[in-house]
Amino acid sequence: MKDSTLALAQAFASRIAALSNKQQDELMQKSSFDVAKLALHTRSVLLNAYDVTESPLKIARREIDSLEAGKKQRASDTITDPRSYLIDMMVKGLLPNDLTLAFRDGKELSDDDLRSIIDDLEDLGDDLDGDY
Amino acid sequence: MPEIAPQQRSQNEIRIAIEGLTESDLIKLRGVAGALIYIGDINWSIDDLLHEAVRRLLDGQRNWRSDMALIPMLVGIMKSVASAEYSSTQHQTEILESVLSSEQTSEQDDRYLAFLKVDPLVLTEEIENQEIVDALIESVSGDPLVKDILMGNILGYTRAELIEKLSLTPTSFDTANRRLKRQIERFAEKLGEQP
Repeated sequence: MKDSTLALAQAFASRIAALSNKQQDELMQKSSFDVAKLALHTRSVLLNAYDVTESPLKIARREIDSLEAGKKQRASDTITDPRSYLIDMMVKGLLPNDLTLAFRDGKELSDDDLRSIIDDLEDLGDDLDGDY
Repeated sequence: MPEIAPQQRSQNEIRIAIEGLTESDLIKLRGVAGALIYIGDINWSIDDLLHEAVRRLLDGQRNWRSDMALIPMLVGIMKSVASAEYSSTQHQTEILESVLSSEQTSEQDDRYLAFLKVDPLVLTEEIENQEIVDALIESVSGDPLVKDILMGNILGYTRAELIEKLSLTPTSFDTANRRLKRQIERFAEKLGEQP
């Protein structure tokens, strides 16, 4: 939506809001629209806000929040010292060969790198507690 | 002596005020919601926008002071919601985040409410846009079918309902509706060209 579209919509809405009852009634009388039915429905919609515990937006927000919270907890999230963990896995012979070589070669890996490796191992289906 | 702020209205007072709205008041609120949605091309229903406005009063997200009338209060909230909806991006998450951002909508509502205190129904910064609105209304008034379709859309009638009510064929309705949409776009562009 363009800025000017919003501005036009806002200005038009203001125009409607500024109509006197007489002007509005005349407009509606000339139309073929059912004023009584529309008014009744509108009142019902306004009062329905009391009956619903959450607005549609809040419901949608809650759904998004639960999607975020429901993201599967990764193993790397629970491991406080990823370096020690991987070293331990290496000692036990539970790391893939290329990773073992990387550790043995002293390749510099950050904690984030290490956590990423743990996640990759999890994705590959490795049982990270060592129980195959 | 410290100024005492006007008291906030209670939920029961809000309910009583809604129940006390006249037919004209209700049609006015519906028309305001409809204009924001139809002309603003917002992907909401009129009922949802009306509902959301009242919810924000009930939730306490917006405080309805006792020295303010209900209609301008609800009009201001609906405009704020529409503006926030406009500000959102294409992604659904970002849309919800921006609308639900209390900091952003509070600023907008404060701005609208500040103007409402001076002139309850017409916001100062919109007065300069009213000439374009006048021109759009005049343009539409010259085409009775287009005028009826505009009014019907603003009141929330569906395409099928308008076809039946206005005794049109689907093709003639669609043709006239496209004509109306083009006129709205043209006037929105004119507004955009204003300094």
